Amino acid sequence: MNRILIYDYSPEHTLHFSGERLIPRVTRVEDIRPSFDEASSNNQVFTVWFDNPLLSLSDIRLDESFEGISIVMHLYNLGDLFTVMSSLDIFKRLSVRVFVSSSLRENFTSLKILSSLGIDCGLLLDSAKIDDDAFVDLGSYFFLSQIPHASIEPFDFIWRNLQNEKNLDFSTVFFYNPEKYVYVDAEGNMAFSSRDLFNNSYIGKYDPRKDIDFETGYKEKAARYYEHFMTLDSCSKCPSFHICNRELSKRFKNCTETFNSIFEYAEILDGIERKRNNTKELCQL
Amino acid sequence: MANVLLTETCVRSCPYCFAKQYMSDADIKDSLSWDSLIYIADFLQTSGINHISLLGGEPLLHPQVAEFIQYLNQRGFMITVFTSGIMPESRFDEFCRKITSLPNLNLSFVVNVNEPRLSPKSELDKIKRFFSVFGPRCSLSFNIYRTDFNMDFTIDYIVDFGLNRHVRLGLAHPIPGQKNKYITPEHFHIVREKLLRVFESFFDYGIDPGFDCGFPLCMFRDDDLGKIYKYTGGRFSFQCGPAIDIGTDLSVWSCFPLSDFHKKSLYDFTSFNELIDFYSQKMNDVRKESAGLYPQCDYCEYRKKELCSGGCLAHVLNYFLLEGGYRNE
Repeated sequence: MNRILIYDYSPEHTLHFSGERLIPRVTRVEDIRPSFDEASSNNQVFTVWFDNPLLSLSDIRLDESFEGISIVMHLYNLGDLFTVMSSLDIFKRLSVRVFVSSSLRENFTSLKILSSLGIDCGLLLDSAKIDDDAFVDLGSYFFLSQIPHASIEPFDFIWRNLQNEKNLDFSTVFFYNPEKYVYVDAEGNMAFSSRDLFNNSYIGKYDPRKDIDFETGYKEKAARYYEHFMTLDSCSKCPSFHICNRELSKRFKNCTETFNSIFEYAEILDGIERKRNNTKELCQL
Repeated sequence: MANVLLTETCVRSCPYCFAKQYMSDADIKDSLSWDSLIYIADFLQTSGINHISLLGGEPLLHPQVAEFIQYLNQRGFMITVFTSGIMPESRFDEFCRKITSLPNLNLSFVVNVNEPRLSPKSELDKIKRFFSVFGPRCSLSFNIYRTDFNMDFTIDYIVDFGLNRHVRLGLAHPIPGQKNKYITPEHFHIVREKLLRVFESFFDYGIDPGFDCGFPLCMFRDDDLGKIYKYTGGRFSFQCGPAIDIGTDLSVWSCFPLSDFHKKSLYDFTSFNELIDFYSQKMNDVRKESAGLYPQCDYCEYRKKELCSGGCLAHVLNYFLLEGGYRNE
């Protein structure tokens, strides 16, 4: 079974999954452990998704009790840097990836700080406009810095998949991939994204006896991919299409140049044998 | 070891300041950014350097100095902060709280002190407050820029506040083309006499003096050298070479007195060794033309045997400047 079910954890509503791969999504730190315990009793937990775009990393207190849980955090920013760096030892012991918003210019630098200190992290492509220069600069740091450092998404995804796929759709890093993730609400309604779920755009009802229909999602994706070449605009001729997939064209001022640079950096890195300082077990986004 | 400027502004205005030229047009806004710090840390680690010096201006004026120290410590660097120990009241408490909360901190301070008789009381109070918190991490630095200097107060500081028993001694050097105060070679003999007396006092208290660069060997007699050997445990030299300072905008130069001498960007180099080689070569080029402070440096056996560099190169460049600007191009 290939599907990974994503659902909002609530102590009040228990979904009786069994034999599934799950991602419980929580918004409170105190729900991380119980959501994991509940989900892992009869299922495989892919990761616990801590999704709170209003919080800073320095607001979150993690301790040894979170050891053994893979956690992906989607946050606003790092907050107080001194507090964050004071908690580094525990962060290094835990399996945590920290994502911060691209809406703040300072977050691009924050990710360099985290990565250089050995904390796996990533940039959420959540803002309407993303700073091209800061994005390329962060990419150049990830791909070209000669000092071992932890992963920065989505660059790490691009690098890991550069030779494997023609189409490098890195939205999977952000838990959007109709071929991989299915969102389930408390009533068992299923959708391919959080937004679809919110808009009642369901693909069906969860039934543990039935496989989920991925065909629809795949067809949509494939159609979008091939339609791209029929449209005579700058995207259809863009050499970096296989990284961007038209998804980000409106977010960057000069997306072709931006992704050309990223692609070049990725190819340079691909040609260099690198040692990483990070051997932690992390979920492969 | 590389010297990294965190700020280009200072809380003092020392008459001998060898950074004066560099600091003159600076603003507190011109402070080192996080991106630059990360670049420098990567650059140094790639080069196998694990000791970093933070200086300024006054590095403790940097709004994120505690975070920078914490970050570099986490990256595994030994950190030395060259400071006056003078911080605004409001910032001092926060700095103390943060730094004293850090475990396993590989941090030391070299506190540059001026004679109390030549310093305002408010400055002295702040320096003593700094020593009262960070005393065991501190050692002193003293720059000699006048012949009537008196260093007795350094012993008082060391004993009263439990400072490290080491004092860095610097000879104030000229900044080519500028008007800072410094000791001219014809007055070196007065400095010598006074230094030997200072060393005797230091010896009684178990304090090691350490020469910064630019002292010429011939400033001392042979019997002086024997005494200095005993006073310093043999840890002294008469060299002048590239120290490598990195500015807040990632410009690099050999050392402060030579901050206008072939200034480059850190981006022009791929390793710290390459930087050292570049400035060593440039300094050697000058010394081929004029070896040192005195005409006899050109033929000096001790210079040929590399026991002495011939004093600070800034003196040589200063002579060149007097001869004509083209010499420094």
